[in-house]
Amino acid sequence: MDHGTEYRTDHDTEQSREALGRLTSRRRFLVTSVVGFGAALLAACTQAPAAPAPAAPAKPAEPAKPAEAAKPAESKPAAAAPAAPAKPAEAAKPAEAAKPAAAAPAGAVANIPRNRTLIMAGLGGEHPGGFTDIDNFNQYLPGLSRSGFSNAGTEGLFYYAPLNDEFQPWLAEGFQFANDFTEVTVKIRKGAEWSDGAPFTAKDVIFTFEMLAGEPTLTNGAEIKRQVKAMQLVDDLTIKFTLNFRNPRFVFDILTFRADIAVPIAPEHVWKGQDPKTFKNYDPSKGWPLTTGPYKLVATNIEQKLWDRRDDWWAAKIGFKQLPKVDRLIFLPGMNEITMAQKMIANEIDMAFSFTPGNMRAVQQQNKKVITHSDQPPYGFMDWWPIGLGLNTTEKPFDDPEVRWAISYAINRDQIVKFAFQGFNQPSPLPYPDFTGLRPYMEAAKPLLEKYPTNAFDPKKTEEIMTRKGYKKDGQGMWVGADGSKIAIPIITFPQHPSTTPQAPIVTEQLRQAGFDATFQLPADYSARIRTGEAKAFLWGHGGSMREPFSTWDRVYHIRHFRPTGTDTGANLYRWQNKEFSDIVDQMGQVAEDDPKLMDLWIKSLEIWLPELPDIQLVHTVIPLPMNTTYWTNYPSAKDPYVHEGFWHRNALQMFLKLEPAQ
Amino acid sequence: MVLRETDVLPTGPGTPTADARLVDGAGPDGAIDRDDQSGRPPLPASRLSTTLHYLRRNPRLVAGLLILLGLLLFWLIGSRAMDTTARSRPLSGPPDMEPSAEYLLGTDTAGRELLPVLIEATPRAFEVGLLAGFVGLMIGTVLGFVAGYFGGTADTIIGGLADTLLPIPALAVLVVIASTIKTNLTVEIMALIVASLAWMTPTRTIRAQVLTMRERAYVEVARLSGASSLQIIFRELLPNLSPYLAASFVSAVGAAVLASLGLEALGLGPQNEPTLGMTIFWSIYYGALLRGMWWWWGGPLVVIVLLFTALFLIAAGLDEIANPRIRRAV
Repeated sequence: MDHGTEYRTDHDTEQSREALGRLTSRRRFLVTSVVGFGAALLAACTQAPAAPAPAAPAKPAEPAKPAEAAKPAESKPAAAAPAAPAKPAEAAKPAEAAKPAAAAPAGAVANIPRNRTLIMAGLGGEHPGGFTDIDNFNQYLPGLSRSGFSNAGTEGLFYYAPLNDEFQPWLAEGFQFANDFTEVTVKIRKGAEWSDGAPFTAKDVIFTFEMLAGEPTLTNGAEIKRQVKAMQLVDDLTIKFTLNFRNPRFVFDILTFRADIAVPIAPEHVWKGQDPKTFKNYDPSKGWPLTTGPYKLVATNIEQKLWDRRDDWWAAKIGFKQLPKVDRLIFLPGMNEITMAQKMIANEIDMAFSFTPGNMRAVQQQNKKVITHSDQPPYGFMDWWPIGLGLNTTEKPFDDPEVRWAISYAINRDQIVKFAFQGFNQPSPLPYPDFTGLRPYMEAAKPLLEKYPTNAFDPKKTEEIMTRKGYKKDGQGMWVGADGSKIAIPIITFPQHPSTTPQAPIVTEQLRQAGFDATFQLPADYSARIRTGEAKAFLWGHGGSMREPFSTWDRVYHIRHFRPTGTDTGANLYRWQNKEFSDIVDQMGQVAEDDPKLMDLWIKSLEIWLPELPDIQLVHTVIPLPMNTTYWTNYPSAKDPYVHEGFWHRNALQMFLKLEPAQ
Repeated sequence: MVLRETDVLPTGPGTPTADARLVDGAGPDGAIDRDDQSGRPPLPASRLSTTLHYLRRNPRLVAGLLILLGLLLFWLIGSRAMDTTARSRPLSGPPDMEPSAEYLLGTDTAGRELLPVLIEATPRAFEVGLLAGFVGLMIGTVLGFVAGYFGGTADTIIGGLADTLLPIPALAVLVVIASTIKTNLTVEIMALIVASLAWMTPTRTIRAQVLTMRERAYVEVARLSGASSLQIIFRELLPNLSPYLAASFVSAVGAAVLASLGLEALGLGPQNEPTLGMTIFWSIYYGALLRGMWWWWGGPLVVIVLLFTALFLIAAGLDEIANPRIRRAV
């Protein structure tokens, strides 16, 4: 027993020694840490006395500290103590946990004050939680975030702003159609340059189009292959496109930047010899990605993308445009709406992705500097995606236009605007946005809309049609057919979409009150179900036209997109078949946008479309985008809609050029 | 010669089976017997007063049952006092109303009156919980008995399956299942989805219980007496396991309610009938927290807290019956 006790004692002593050793090393570690921290603090205070002491960063080489987060991507980590900001308190705070950019390009990231920085959060909702395209700047592949390269670095040959119907040549000076719209000559603007100083020429345009036509899987590749027969380099600044068919819309459809559309041009001297399917177009040491726009990439990481002004921008050099006043653009990835709202209240961001109306009001109550597009209804800016209640028109009873009208009469659009959008919307009589260029066509449609009131709420008409069609109401007030079955309308839509999701419970309830057995679901595979026709009813938008009616008709309702239920289709989701209508649409496609014949064809097409009513028209998509005027003014507004404020869209550059500092 | 129980042992309280229960102390009978042995005055003969006497000793069970009763009364009285079905639907009132005399718990943005929503949603939470808990526990009991009692290949397969599925985060799997359901989700389908992943834990624990009980003396005696496997399971094992099963059932109900609330709050639950989780989903969607609309999320939160408190107390109370070792001194 004694032996045993001794043994245990020895063992305990050994354990104690071990513990003591651990304690000693821990103590040593603490002392070292404190000394290190003190040294770092001293260095920081000596260099930047105005900066408050930051919470001990472990590595003194780490330049970005929360208290002076102006230097999110100090790309010279060797410089242990970063250059002191002149006014650290005003310095831009790019992200909460501003870490140095892991993949920052070569060259120091300048320290730019907060009031010269524009911070935008949420993009168009993509890349939620963090950027996944940190080192990928190939905009011919899908999945790229709209975080500066497409909307500040890349410029269009032409731009179109739908809110004020403004078309402006940019990298190109102009164009000329010939030979009955089968040829078009485009003139490039003299003096346009890439960010490495190389001239932007017609060769770049031809190179890009040939690259895309040779690889139809790339974005726009298939469309260019379909439309372009040949290209000819007339001179360094002139290209002649020969088209496969009469195509008066070629310049607008393919070459004009609007929303996310049009073909960006790549620099031939960078892309030549690269495989466009794998090339990342990113090498900070070479200044890639090259841009023609007034901004260059200075930092890219999971939390943010930083673009700084390039004072050698070609347009300023040749006097075409003035340099923007915004020195730095910071794009933050898709994030939770409440987080964005809190950042907006705290002036940490200047713009954010669309807020639901309730959140917008709450933010505006707490921060009077936050504005929206207008202080009148519908408050937000008009998007190109009016929403409808789509029905699979190959399914009974939705194959009957009269039943579709009965459903339309059962819906109260004003109630949708009031309940689902708290006033931030307006009814949409036709599948077209309320854009300036489209207004003459909408005006011309008014007499027909009086005969076919697509927005009318008239339960008596519903009753009259359904009774005439032989339906009767059961004990619960639901319409039943001759076989005793109810009219099921199982609606599906996006789980989280600012324009469709909030409508789902309202439309469902309205239909139930009118005697239809409506239900709704927000499934994750909504898109596949709608595209294959498995969904009998769905809430979806109509995208296409911006300044004349052809595009929506062609993309959304043309018979050539028809596929039977079970087969995938990206267009004509209603599976509506009308040959006569589609023939008229084809004729519209042959007519130039400014040809008066277009109006006649529009009215003819409406005379077929309206009695048929392939889908039920509901309300517009209005995007209430918060804009903070603490640091910046001259945002787009209803009074001056020089462009829409979707900062993720290609034409956002027009906004960056016009913003004025508030301080 | 086959030794049968009736051949050598008298029936009645003195049978080895009953003795074994006393020794193991695993049943409610055991609890009363122990009291008898403690030298206290004998209990009143009436069953009701026996129960009352016992409940007085088990305040957690009483508190849990009372809260549950309160929630049931809330539903019963509420659903008779107003037309909750109609008034809990969207457009039944104006949007975003604060609580007032007319709208006692206010309305949400879609115009649902929140008091009727709560009244409708409370029993649905129970329904999902009871149904999913029951189905999950039933599957778990059957599999647990098969694996524990018969062993062999069945044990290997069932044990392997349960062990494989157990570490997978249930909510992740449920999200996938719920989001691929093509028809409109109802509360019943929802309960079955939740039950599909609620059987592993009962299977494991019941298997373990059966493994130990299988080797006890009274089972041995029953086996030697010629009882068949089914007789042993139903007459010897199940009665002894019933308090444990009751406690497990309450826990299973709680787990099922929690899983269903999670799915609903993610927008994957039934959307066309009011549930607590759906109310939370829409309150998050519409930023009720930021907008100061406390009445939107406050009601469901109170009901959820009450429900889980009640379930916890009942489970703790039942556990005391099932496991005399944790019984508090009286």
